[in-house]
Amino acid sequence: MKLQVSYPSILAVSLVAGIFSLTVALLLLANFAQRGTYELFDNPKYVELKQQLAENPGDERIEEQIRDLDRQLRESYFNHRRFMARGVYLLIGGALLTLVTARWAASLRPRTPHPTLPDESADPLSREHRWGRRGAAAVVAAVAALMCGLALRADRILPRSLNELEQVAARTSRDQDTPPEPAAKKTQGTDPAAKTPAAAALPTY
Amino acid sequence: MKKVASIILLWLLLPGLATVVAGELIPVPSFSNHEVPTTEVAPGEWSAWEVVHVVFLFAALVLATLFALVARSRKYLLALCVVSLIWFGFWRGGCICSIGATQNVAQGLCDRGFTIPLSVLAFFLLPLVFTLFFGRTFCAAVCPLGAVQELVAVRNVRVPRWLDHTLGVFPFIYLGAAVLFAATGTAYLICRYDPFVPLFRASGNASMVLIGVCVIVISLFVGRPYCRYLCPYGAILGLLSRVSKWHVRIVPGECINCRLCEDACPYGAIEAPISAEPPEQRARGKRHLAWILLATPGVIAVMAWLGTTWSGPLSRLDFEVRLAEQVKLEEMQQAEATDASDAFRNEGRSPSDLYAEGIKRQQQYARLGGWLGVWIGVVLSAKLVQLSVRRGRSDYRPNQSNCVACGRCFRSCPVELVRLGLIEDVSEKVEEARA
Amino acid sequence: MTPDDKSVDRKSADRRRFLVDAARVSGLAAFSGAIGFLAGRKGHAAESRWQIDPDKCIGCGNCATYCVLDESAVKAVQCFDMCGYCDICTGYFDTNYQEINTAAENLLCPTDSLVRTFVEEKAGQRFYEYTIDLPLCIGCGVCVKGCALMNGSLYLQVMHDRCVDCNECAIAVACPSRAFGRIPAETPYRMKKQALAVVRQKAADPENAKARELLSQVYQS
Repeated sequence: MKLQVSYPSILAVSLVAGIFSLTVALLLLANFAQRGTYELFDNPKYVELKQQLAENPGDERIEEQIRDLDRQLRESYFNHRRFMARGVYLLIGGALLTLVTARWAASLRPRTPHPTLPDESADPLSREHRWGRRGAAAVVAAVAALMCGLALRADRILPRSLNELEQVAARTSRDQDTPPEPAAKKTQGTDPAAKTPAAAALPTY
Repeated sequence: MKKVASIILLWLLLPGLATVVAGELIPVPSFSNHEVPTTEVAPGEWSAWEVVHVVFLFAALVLATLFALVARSRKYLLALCVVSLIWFGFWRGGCICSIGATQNVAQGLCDRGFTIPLSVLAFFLLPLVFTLFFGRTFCAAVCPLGAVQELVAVRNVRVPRWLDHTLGVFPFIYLGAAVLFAATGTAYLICRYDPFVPLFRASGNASMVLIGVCVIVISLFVGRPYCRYLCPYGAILGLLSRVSKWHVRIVPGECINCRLCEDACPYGAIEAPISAEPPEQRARGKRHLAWILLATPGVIAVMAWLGTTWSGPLSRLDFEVRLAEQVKLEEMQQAEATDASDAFRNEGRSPSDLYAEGIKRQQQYARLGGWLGVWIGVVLSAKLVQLSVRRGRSDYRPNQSNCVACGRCFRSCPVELVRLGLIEDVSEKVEEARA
Repeated sequence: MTPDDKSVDRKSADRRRFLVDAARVSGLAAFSGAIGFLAGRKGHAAESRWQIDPDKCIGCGNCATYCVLDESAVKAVQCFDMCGYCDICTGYFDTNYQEINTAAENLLCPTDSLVRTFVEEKAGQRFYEYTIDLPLCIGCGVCVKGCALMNGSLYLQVMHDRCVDCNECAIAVACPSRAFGRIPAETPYRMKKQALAVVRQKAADPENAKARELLSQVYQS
């Protein structure tokens, strides 16, 4: 059973459905992007207000502000979540309609087979093989380079072996027995010159 | 006044706090006309659903095989595609899929304490067994990920064959990495980077949704990009399909070399006849192959050595290693405390024990990195050998490992149309007329 | 092609077919071996579900944000048998509370899902029952952290009417105290050790069916 539909009408339906799906997708994206403004428990403005209230207990004005903000945050949180849930179903439905009508349109205008004239001059298989070999080697080289790059970039934090760990532990316990002056240097932050001997002994990767 | 009240109340709370700190709880009061309720929790879903899913999987595999090999009907395959997408994709949620089950099996083989449910094992093995005999009929109409890509392919761009070979190396590398991290129980990479599961669940983390949208959009123009260039299970299926006994064929009989099926495959899996090489090219080809075979042990050794240097990035996926590094950084006062390091300190384990565990694991990852390097070296060598061997062919055939039995090529073949009775075979009359 | 070439070709084709058949049979044998090994090792390998160990949970808040579902599958649960029914609940009220009322600045719960109902007044003390309005709870664990200052009767659990049981739980990966684990699907819930002791006592009473029902759902290692 095949309905008699015209190509332009099916294409039009497909386009409309596609635009609808795209719009819904963009709206969902905008909804998602606004997530930061309505985080409930980490909201910086809310935290700041609570701090102000702790410093000035009993201040009615701050209390009012907190209550308003709390209500606003809760409303927008649940609204956004509801929008996301419904929007996703709309998106899936719209995308499905776009897809079905697009395929229907494509089936109304089938492509005829297009075998190309045989390429007598060059041997396509050997070219395919040659470039395939180079490409495969390139992919593997790229993966290896990426992994080696990641390995070189990060400093080695832990000692390389259990023996080294024991040496480091022995050295730090010896340091703790020495007079407090080097210990004061230890707490001076991340100045590399002031690094403890133990830390300096750790080889960077 | 309020400040004083809160201070007084805090003092009233102190005995309560003290008892709690001492390990004793504030007793539950006994009420005169109120019963202390018992906690109620929502029951889980019927766990026997998984048995139903395995039975359905078997049925779907049988049907896909019948439709592709016996009935040779793309219409039925498409219908089964839709049913599989709805059942395995949206209804079952696309998890635990056959692709992900690879990780469960890897972990089950290596970790003594890890149990695999029989349903997961069935999801891993049934498609493999069917592929071993009938080719990739699982990919055709049963796998929900494949079904999405199959149904979304509207306008296909032809990927140059050499590029197809190049990108075809990646699923094997992905397989190696996935098995490595699953076997150590560190991470399920396939699950973390599954592009389609956010679609099936209609929700997901931002990165998963982004990857999913990208892959689906690419699927509109490039046929089955996940299946061809990413799927690690597809790598295994491709190998098995190569030795399958009754692989799907384009021509239900003798190929007449009419060339009408050449651009019928959106996945570039139709192989054209290959002419014989001139002798000097053949000799050169043989020498080339000999060089590659000679270089293979060297390639594997180099990759193995390189792999051992990857222990840093590989081990950082492991929780214990990350925790050990975090605690070490805090000790050297180069990082601030995190939830994880606070929880660690509450546990009461000594930092030196943690460091020892972290170092042990990093050394383990150096060894495992070496094995991953060996695997990548083997994959590269196999690919190079495959691309240096030339076997003659006189008819149009689907590529034994890449063909996903989608059935698009059937209708383009005149011999098939004769079989279906849609056209008449007039070759004999032409012969007579010629004679 | 000479007849010799043809027979050589046929021999090589036969040899190839034999090798392929051998590969197929050995592949099948390997699979059967793998099934046998994996399936037989543990006997009945049951289905399992993700769950939080409440004794390990630190209430960090990741449960609300890392779940792949928009509304997290993790929610707070109240163990009434461990609750002190306190007037000033540290899981309900902020430590800097101004007054004992339901004003936003005094409460901890960001979605107002913890409900405080008056029960009784005895010997000058007022007792309140604290229950959770599940549709509103987002599983952030703020009440759990607050409650832990006292009895710790509130705890987070994965709800199995909502959880989609991912192969790798995204929250489990992000949990800083490794509190997530897989437990048998027949008993997909956990309780704190102290709470379990109390509920076991309650279940010993033959008339208390609810306590027995709860115990039947709880994993007791």
